[in-house]
Amino acid sequence: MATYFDFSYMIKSFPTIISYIDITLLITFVAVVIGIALGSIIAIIRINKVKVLYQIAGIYISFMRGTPFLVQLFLCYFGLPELLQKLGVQDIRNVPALFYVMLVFSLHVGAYSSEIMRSAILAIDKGQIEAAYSIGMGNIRAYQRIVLPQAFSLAIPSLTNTVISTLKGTSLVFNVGVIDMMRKADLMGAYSQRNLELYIDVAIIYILLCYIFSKISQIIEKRASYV
Amino acid sequence: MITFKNIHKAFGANEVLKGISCTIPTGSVTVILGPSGSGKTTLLRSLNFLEKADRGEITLDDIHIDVENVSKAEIHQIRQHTAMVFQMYNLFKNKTALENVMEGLTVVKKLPKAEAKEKALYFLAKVGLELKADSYPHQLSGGQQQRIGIARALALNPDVILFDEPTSALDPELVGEVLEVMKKIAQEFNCTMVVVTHEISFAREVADHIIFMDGGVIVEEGAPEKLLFNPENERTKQFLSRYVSFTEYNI
Amino acid sequence: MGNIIEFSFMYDSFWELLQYVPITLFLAVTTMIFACVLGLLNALIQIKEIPVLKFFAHSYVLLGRAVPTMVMLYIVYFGLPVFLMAFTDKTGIDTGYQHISPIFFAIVGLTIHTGAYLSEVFRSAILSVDKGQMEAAESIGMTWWQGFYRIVARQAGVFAVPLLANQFLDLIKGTSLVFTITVVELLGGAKIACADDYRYLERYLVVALIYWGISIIFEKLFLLAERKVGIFQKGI
Repeated sequence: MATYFDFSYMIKSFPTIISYIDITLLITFVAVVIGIALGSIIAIIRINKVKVLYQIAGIYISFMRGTPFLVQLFLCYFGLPELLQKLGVQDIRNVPALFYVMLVFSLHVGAYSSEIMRSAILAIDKGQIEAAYSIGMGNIRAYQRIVLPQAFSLAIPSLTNTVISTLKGTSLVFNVGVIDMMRKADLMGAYSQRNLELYIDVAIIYILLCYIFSKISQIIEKRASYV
Repeated sequence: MITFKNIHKAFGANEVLKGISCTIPTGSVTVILGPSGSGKTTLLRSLNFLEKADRGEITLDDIHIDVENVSKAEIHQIRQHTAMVFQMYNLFKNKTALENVMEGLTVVKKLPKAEAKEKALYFLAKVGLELKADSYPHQLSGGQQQRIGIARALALNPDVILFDEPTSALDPELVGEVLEVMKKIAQEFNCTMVVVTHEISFAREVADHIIFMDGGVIVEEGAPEKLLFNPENERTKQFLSRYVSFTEYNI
Repeated sequence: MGNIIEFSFMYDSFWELLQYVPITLFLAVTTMIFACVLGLLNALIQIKEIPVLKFFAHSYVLLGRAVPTMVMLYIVYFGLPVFLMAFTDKTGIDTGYQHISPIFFAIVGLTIHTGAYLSEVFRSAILSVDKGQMEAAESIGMTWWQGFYRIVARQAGVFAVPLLANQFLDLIKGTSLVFTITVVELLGGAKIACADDYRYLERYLVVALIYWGISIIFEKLFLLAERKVGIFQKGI
């Protein structure tokens, strides 16, 4: 059986593979934080139908949701530097790959979470914001202190899905030169020819991460419930 | 003839049927009365095995079933001889009224489509809804839906029709039209009708036999004249006192 | 603007890259068909509560959704030949594992991934149908399968269409990953062409626009389908 599947190799490589998990988590974290913030702002723009911005946001969302993430990644990583160079920006070569990756992820999460936040905000009883106005709060304060916290609470299950999607999306960044678990598995596999075992390690790590993320989300949901 | 022998049924820790034994004569209109939770609906549904009783025996004419060891074939067999009218009508939402009535005829009785259509229209007319043949359930009122449900059951020419609180979900104005149809069926067709209901007037006018249940047991049973106006059991009296004034009928 | 983005080049690339669209569509449609079958079977196993199998069905849903598509593709790409090799060696039946086209791996990988999602779609669609519908069907003497096929499944289908549409659109986007296991589809074709002239910006923009266009077309088609299937519903 050793020629078909090397179980001990799979176990031995596991620590090496999982040591690259930091970059996966970093990208996910940054993308989620920036993305959800961006998404909330866009949601508010869309709800209030702010002139011009509303249409731009609509196109942006349709584009991010209608095109494959990998294409967006390539467009950003290969196309953006070219564009910036043509526009005359200097020193484009010093920008690390990770910057483009974070940028694309944040924009991607922003589009998806804007739809989630939009329906969550709309689901909140109008009376809440009316009450906020009636005690003298301005628009921004009302949103910040009353509407958004409640909207978040409602949106947690859907946002969790987005977070988990983002996490799984990190499995693509090796295509643009980021050294993460996938790239490490690729490199190790080229040497040992034991690709299957290595990618099963990666799969196991992703499964564990997904499990942990959903558990955390359940705890947050309970804590943040206003009902 | 339907016989229940020592039927027991529990939902978890809650014993709903505590050894029910009774006989329902062929061709009769038997009404089962009782307060909520008495087990009457469970008893009805255990006949066509929508609820599976835990122990006991059920007999329908020459079909004998030991409930504990009932086979799929036996359940299927008994369902070929019975039909049910539901509290929530349960018309097939994706079929028109006509198709609802035809469904059993084409799929179960395996009649050719033309013959099924003819029969279905006949029964729709019987319940007064031939003009609504091509309407979908969501376009019809509750009373209309229920009448179609009755047509659907009738069309199968079953030995027994089971009515599970047929008017309980209807607006008061619509209750009458459904009871009228049920009365008509009792007169014109000779299938056995077993009706779980709160409509005492229906029981008084149409029933041949009444069974009163409470707390999972049969408290009293008998002919309507006797049970409704001169009940023997205290619990029966208590239940009926809300509907019937006994002093009125004291001779 | 002309020397930042050359539109005539984009126009030419568009026609060049269009030749890859059939492969993309083929991958998506074939996968969707297989995944629907797999997903429906999986959902039914859970609904009918078939012992032993239902545990595997549930696990499949959890694992299939937790593993990224990319990882799944690699596992199939590296694992399936090994599995078939073992099978050939043990049973002597020649499975021809040495000559399998990578498209096959792509479809298998995408099917396993999508099937897990579709299983949940079908399961929630079937459960959304009022219990009374099946009771009525059984009460007039239909078998479970007759009731399911003629009544429940059709009502569940209407519920499922928008969800299936979402999954299909995701699948179209998912096909963009398969170039990593050497299948030349739209993105792969673009990447190869870019290796020659380094014109990333224009080409990837064209690729994005093509995918965008495909998405929008299918979105509209699905809306039409939803309307047609749901005539018996109120408000459609």
